[in-house]
Amino acid sequence: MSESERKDNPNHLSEDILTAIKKGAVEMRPKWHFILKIALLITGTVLAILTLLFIASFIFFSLRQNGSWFVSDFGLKGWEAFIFSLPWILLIVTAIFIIIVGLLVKNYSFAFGRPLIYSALGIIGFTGLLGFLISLTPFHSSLLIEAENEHLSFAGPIYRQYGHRNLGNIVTGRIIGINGNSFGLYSQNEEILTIIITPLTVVPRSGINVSEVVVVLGEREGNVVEALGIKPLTGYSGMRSPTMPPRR
Amino acid sequence: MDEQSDEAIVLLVQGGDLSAFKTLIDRYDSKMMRYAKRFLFGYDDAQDALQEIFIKAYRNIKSFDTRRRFSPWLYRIAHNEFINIIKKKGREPLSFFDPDTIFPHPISTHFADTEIKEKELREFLEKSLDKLPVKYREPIVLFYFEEMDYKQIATIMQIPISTVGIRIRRGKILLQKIHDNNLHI
Repeated sequence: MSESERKDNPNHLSEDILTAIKKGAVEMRPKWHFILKIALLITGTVLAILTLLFIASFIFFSLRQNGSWFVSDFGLKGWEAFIFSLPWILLIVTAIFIIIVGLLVKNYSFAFGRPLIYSALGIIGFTGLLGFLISLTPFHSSLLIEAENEHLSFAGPIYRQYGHRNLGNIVTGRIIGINGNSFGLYSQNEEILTIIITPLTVVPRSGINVSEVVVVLGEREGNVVEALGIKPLTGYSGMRSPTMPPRR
Repeated sequence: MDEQSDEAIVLLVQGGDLSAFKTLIDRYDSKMMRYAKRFLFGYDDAQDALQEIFIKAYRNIKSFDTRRRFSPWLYRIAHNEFINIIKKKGREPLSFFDPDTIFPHPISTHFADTEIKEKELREFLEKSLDKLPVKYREPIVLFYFEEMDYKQIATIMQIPISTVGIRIRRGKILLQKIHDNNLHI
């Protein structure tokens, strides 16, 4: 039978395929191959989601830790300072992981059957909410302490870099003494700063007290900060005091 | 075996029954050929693609969940095979990302035209498929010639149901423009 005759024969397709199967040229993949594939996909998706949550919660944590989360209360200048203090590299990494999670989730029927915007908003909403809640737990603060004591090899440098960022015009610290219109602040970067209160400074209604932990937004020159706003940070953990040994 | 469901036959194939696989090939070869010839309009690869579809189906048959329907699973394999051929040939642009899949669209339902109109439309579509970009051609082929609903098409193409509707509608508008231009020439 010539090639064209063979192709015109309606049975040739099944014959060709069955012959190839019988000869062993085509083999059925075992069930475990597909189970492994699904397991790898699920593992990859879970790992990507966990990494995303870790980074997102760390961003919230570092914003709170450095005080920039709170300065938006001080009006336009506060918002400006907040935007400039955002950890852009971490935000870009977060965006990359959102895309990775989005691509992985696209393999599941619940995702590809819906417009992409729903999956994207779902992932962003889930990351934002859960990331924020995780940032409120002691998870990152305990890791920061580990990193400060150099007990954290994994992510230690990131914690040291973003846990105590020098943001210039945003300072957090403990009040060590009040003197008229100024007070001394022991910053979380272990500097002793003089904070000047002017008539334009937004101060808390309850006033300020020694040993209180505060965030200060203001123009800094050397170790003197002319405050635009001061806000007490209640429930703030991990703030150092001058009596503590310096960080390594 | 002829009266058994596809899924019951697949169960036999999974157990190593080769004659059951022959039954599946016999059931689907003409459908797949029809789909291939229309999707790969103007390509000479339909015959080879057909063989490859069934070989891939056999290789991966153990991944098929017999609680689901076999037909969309096989069409999905065919879809991937045709897309690969189009990519390899490089004659038609295929975008990795389609903006139509981002936002929800109101599902544009297909209103049954009169039988004559429907017949005319199919005849015109048949002649003009090669003028349509791949992303419009495939849902039109599946809808008008394979007589699938939006949900089945969405499963095969792995796109949202509303995107299927929008692509069919845009494909038809594009064909209408081509038709009108031909009348004016």
